[in-house]
Amino acid sequence: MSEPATTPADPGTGQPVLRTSGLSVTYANGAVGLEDVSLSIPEGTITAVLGRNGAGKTSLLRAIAGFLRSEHVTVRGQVELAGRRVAAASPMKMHRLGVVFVPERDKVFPGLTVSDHLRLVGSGKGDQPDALSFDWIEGRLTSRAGMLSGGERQMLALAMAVRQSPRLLLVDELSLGLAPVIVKELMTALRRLTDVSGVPIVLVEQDAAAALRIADRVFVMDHGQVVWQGASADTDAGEISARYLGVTR
Amino acid sequence: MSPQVATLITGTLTTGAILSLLSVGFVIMYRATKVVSFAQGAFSLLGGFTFMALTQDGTGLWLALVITLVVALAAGTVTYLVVFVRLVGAEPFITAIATIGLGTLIEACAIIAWGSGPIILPTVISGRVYHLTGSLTVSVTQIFIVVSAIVIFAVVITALRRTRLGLRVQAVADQPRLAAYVGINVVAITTLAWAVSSATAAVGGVAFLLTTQPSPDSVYSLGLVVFPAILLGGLDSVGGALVGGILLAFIQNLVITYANGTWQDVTSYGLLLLVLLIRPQGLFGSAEVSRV
Amino acid sequence: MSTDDDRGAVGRPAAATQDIALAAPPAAAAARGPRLDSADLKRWLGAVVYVVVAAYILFGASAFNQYQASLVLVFAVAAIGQDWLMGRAGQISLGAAAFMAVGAFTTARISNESWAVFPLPIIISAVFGCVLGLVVGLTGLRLRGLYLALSTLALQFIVAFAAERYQGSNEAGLTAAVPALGGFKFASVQRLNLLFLVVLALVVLGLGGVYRRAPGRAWAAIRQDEAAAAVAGVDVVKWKLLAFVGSSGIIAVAGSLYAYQAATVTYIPFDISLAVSILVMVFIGGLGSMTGAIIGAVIVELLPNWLQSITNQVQGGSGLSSWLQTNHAELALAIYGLALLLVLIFERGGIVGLLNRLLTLTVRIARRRERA
Repeated sequence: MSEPATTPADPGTGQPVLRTSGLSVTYANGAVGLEDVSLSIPEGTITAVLGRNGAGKTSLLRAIAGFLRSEHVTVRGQVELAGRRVAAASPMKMHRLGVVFVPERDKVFPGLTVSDHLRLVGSGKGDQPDALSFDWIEGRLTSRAGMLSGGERQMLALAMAVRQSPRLLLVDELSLGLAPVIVKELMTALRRLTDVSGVPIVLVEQDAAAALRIADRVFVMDHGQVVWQGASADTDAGEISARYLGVTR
Repeated sequence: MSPQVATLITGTLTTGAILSLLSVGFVIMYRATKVVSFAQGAFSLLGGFTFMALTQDGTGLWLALVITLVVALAAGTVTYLVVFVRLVGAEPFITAIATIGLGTLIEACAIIAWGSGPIILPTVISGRVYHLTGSLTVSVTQIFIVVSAIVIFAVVITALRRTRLGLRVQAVADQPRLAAYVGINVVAITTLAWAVSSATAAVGGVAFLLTTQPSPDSVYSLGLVVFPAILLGGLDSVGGALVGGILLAFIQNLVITYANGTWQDVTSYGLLLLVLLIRPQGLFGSAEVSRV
Repeated sequence: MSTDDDRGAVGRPAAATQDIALAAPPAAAAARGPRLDSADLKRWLGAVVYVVVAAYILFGASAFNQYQASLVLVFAVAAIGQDWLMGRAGQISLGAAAFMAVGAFTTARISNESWAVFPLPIIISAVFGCVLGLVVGLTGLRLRGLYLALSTLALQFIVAFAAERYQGSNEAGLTAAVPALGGFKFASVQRLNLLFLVVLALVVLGLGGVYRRAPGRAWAAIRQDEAAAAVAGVDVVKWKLLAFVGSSGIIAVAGSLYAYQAATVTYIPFDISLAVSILVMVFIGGLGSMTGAIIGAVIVELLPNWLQSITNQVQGGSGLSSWLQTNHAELALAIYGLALLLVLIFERGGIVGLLNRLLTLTVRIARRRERA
């Protein structure tokens, strides 16, 4: 059922920012989250991870960010960040090493104001706020995040993420519940971020078309395994959606 | 001003200070960890006994206070890191019962160590009394207690609202998972909440001992009697803890002065029931609190 | 109240039972067929133990032990009532002492009336308990979890106050008349124990039957997740109220028995620490298990005296002996607090949970040996 894996042409900027080999995750109740996932994320690229619900996309992100290690889950395999083994690193350590995770749900603090959010994570590198700044934020500094719309929350979450000086940005289901025009704006901002600062992004998405528009490379997951990988240029969103995401036109 | 009113005022402020101190500890813990602590009285007792032991040994007021604070901070820290860190994620029901177990354990150990008789402090504060107007008199002790409470509240509120640390505490209270995702050390913050919570309880216990000579049981019961104040102010409101403490003290003193002292407890708990039935989030609590 | 999905809590013992029964029958236990058989085996075992212990209490025990036993039996009933509310229906309550007080005072007051033929005082006490339980339950419908616990806390103090007022200037307290059935007077501790044993048996058998049927399943669903149960069609309101009414009635019965046991009733013993003791009994013994409630009652009631009796054995190092003598009560309390914490952290099923695990382990070892 799976396509023969094709290795895309590497931008060749030296060692990848992230590399996993044989990453496997098994939950306490026996369920398999990931099975033998090996991938590498080079600098300055956006990687889309596609798949349906339960395919293991979120498990992958959480495993990379170190959150699964602390929750009674068995994790096997290697994770290397800039060539450095981070097998048993705690989430805090991973965060210090620059892995920033933007979750799918609860991505802002409803009771805190917008300016609180920005203060909380401190100021990022000089140019990054420009690369991912949203004009409306200046005007809403005193608003509580709980009052923001879905799109605004997502933007705030990304603005927060950028200010954490990420070396690797993991974004989970950015498009959920958002209007297409907002999704497009967010995706464009992400592309600009990577282009300007070189920070690689791993983008977990259900909206294959939106993700492919900005991604360099694609991994498709099903039942915890990588079933397709390739350059986004070689990937047909419609075909992927139909085959692996169960979406029929 | 009639003597009764005078006593009412000073009594309200003093008892209010004591109750507020225990309440604010509860609120800090609840906001940061969602744990409902029935053990505040136990930490008050621990602080009180420590202070007693130190002052009976000849230690001066300020040094004894500082040491007591340190001991209480340590006690809260140890309690979290040894016991409650293993209950992270457990249902509120379970953690609440756990605090009951904790309180029982601490109280029993304290009584074993220091006995069950009334706790009597040597004179550590000048007994001077100031006459203000008419029959309104305040003692140095009362001033000390009220000022201590005000200072502590000021520190807590400033820390929460103005410092980066306070912001992080608010973040953890708001969304613990997200706080972890943005790199906040949630374990450290939670430990801090526990430490501060038991420290304020300890100060409250010391204050209580400065005003009377209670049995260990009475000090422990402070932790229960404080619930009407907490609910009145709002489970998750720091400012509410202050208001609730003073209001409850006022009502209690009203009952003592103008009615019968034996009605004190029943009035307090009747008030608790009223708040629960009419407005569970209290005066200043957030609405989500009522959906616990 | 939803349980954390990692911690199976009381679910684990049941799963263990399933484990044994569905697998190939070991040589030792005759577990074959549907799941019920293993539970039946446990029930028969329980009955045998009960008869043996009852025989000992009635005929073999010393006067002191009989006295101890009477207290244990009274609190076993109370703990079973508390377990109904907390362990089966999942509602927190700190009101056990209050309901016992209601039962005790009612019985003490009524039993002296000529029209109150035994066992009417017990029945009327139960009714009063049920009524109060209904009131609490109705307020409990609006309140959840923590707020319910706090309202029962308020109940404790309000009832204690009312009891104190009711007792009034009567320092010695109210005296309960000696219960008598026909000409048979339950005048001695031995005979009272007979009464208590019968009541306990009735409660266990009655509740056991109720738990096994639809009500038990309804409460289990509510305990697991109230919202989900409602969605699944369980009449949460009805069952919650019934749990309150029933458990309060049973605890009031325990109070009634207490009145007979103590002969004189004052408001003093019915304080918050009594409520906490009963809570501890339920948790240490095993939440959601009547056997657990009984075991908990045994431990909590007997531990202080057992600690004290150690002092008689500890001759060398008289320091330890006198220390124990002074502090045995607090030491017992410290142990309860610690045990409660240990139960909550490591084995939510309490002692019963531990025993179940032991049983599963034993069966597994036996099966492995059989296969080898």
